[in-house]
Amino acid sequence: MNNEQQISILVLDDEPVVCKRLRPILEKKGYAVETFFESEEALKRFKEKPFHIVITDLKMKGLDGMQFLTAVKELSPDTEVIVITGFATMETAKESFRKGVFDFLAKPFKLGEISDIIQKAEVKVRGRIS
Amino acid sequence: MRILVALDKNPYSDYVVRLVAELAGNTWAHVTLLGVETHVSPGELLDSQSAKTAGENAVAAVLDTYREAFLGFFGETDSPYGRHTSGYKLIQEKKGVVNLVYPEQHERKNLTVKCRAGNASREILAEAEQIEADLIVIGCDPGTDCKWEGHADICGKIVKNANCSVFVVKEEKKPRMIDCCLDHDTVSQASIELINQLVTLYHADLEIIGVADAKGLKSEVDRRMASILDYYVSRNIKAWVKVVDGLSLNSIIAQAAEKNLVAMWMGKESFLDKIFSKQRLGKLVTSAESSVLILR
Repeated sequence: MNNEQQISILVLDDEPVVCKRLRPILEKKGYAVETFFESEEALKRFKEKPFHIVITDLKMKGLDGMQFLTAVKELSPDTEVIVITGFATMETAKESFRKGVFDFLAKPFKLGEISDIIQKAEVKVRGRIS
Repeated sequence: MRILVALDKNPYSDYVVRLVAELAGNTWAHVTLLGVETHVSPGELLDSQSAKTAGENAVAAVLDTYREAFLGFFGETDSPYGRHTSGYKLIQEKKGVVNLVYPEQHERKNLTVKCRAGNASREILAEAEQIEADLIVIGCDPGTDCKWEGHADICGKIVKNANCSVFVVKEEKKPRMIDCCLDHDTVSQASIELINQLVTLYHADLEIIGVADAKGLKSEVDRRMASILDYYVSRNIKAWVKVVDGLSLNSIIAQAAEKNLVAMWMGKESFLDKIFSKQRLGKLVTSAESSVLILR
């Protein structure tokens, strides 16, 4: 990975509308984006290919977002994880940071807000590899 | 999530701050505390807020106490808004807008404190646009005209003209249920997500109320209600639907507001917009005995 390398982003949210909104915006910004509605599938893909940045919802059927981010951090500690949640609590926010997330974002949010966060995560990723 | 909190010197602003602190404690939202100085011109705002000339009655000084109260909700180590520092400098952002700038706090999320000069409703709406707020929270006395200084019906004007959801807070209560009134099928994802956060905050159940016109409940509204119900039930939220006649909505809202939080989806295609013509909507919000959440 170098500074010319395309940054890869995995988006996991069981609400299709979120992936539908995010994907075109992120692709337009030059990121390589893959979207998933189910955490098991997303984790399977992550095991095949680690991503630079992961954006994950928390409340999902099956493997929930907290378990997913734990697995991601175990597999690839350098991956920056951004948690997005529609059902935020102080506890989930604190636990997310304890597990090393880059940021915690409650829904609703404007695309500009998450774009800013992703940009900061990208700077961190590129800083690590340069 | 970005929350704009419009504050004045009336007592209801105290519990607006407490409510927003609770919501921010869950959501770690970016929060802007805004006061409006209505008696000075934009060019005089900076000087008027100086502690030497205006003392503790200046809007800036009042906002500083609200900031203290807000931060007091959080522990020193757990706060997403950083260390609890005091002492601010007044920095002019532009003519008529002054920021209270505090020492470096190493915060994860922004807590911005600012004062604007001018017409209160216009300035609040301008700030909401500027920061791209997802929610405006504003206080108001129950069942009376709005007491915002120098202006009548500020809350009504905000509700009528804001592009985002508006929470008009009238009392300190923990609603057991949120009653969401719906009469059209265009429901924004943002509004559904905002309800999610409030359901989580209050541990409340959810009642989705379909509002029928003279011809009954529109089939598209019926379908939308069903899909919203599925959405919440699949997320383990206790929710159900009921249908009411639009003509009896006023009394239903009054009854529900005694214990619950009443929320209304007000879209461009909303029949509620017609029931409560823009003027009547403002009046309903202003004169209601209880808090009202307008969803957009």
